[in-house]
Amino acid sequence: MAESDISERRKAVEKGLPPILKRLWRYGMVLTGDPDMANELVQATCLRALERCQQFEPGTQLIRWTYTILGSIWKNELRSRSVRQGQGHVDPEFALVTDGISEMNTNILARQVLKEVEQLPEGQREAVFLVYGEGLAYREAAVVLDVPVGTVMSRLAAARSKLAGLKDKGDHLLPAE
Amino acid sequence: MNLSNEMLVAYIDGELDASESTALADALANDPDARARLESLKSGGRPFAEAFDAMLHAAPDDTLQAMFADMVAQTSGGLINGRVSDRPADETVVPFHRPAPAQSQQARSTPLWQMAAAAAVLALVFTGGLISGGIFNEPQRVAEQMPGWREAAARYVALFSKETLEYMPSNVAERRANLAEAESVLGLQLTENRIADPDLDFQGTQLLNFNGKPLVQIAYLHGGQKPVALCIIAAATNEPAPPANETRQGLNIVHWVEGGYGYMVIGDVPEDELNRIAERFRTQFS
Repeated sequence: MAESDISERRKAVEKGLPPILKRLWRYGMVLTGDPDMANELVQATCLRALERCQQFEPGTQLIRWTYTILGSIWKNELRSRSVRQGQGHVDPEFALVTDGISEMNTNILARQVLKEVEQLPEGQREAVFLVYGEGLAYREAAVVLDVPVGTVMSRLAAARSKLAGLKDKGDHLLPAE
Repeated sequence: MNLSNEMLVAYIDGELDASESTALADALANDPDARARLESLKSGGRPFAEAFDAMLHAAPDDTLQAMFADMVAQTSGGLINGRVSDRPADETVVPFHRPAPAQSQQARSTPLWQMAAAAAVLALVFTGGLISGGIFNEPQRVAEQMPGWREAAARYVALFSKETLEYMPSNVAERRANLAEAESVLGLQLTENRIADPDLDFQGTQLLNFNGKPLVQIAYLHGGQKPVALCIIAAATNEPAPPANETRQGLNIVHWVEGGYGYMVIGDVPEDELNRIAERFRTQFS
């Protein structure tokens, strides 16, 4: 690859990352449920993206490429040293509704929904996030997650089944504040 | 035809192509069990995009930007001089980056979704004395507070699309439960007689939070396309104020105060039409 090409790609990544840092952090939160860990994931992701900028195809979506990097860093590197082993059970400390969200003029329904999403296992959580939160097509989500499309479908189906059950029990209704 | 939960969810999400979708709909017609599962899976839907967008507001953007600027400075080797200066675009104003066109198409092809699409108005019910006497009695505080709640409501409503409203709960029991919750928070009866309107199709109720005060939102669609909102807020004064028009966020607004509550009807609907709707709500709530 010509030096000028690498330079172009580096610029594209450098300019493209700042506007999406918040979204990367959010994906980090969806995976870890921990603001500090999310910060760390974003940092590691940015570093990796800058190091590997020659792999980025300008004109494609930087966010999806970096989501893939972030997810892989989490699953292959950081998760193992986290106390949260991702066993599929709900970590009592896992929280999407952080102080920042509670303090703000946040839609109460949004908080209810996040509380429900917290109860999903990691695989379902990230499928729900990518498809319903980020609006990715199943195929696109499968590429980001590096899984077959069928896996995305079964995770979404499982998530919806679980949430439908919560709804029946009325668990999603938090006391009015 | 395979009517697994996976296929049903793909159908709900508009991920099937036209022929698959048609075949699945045909198969559903003869399979009550699958229809029941379909309804159940639909009820497992939520306004996810909106919920996840709340998380963006909590992101420590300053920290992240500083971290990245340092990283670039340390690793750039002169490719780009210094900091990345472009401020990030504000992601938070586009919370509903939801539907692929196929999805809404799909959504409309089922009776339930059709109902949702048929009409939506949004009623925002603000409580907690936000309007407070100040707004109408003390001009100085108007400047501080008025842009407060009406502007906040307008911004919120401006984000809604017809597709957003399709994510509001569609089953009667849940709608009722949400209404009851809103009623108790607001201390104002929200009976069907009061919140129904012949030109508005009720979509659902939400509790919102404005400056720490609870705020209730009831959603409707107007003309099958346009979200409209009625906002009610507990006022600290019993001083009534007659209806007045204004425009915020490109949306028409009618607002008034009566019986200790501030009201606001808002939507991308012609002013005279909105005035008629507001007048009916005024009568129903008086």
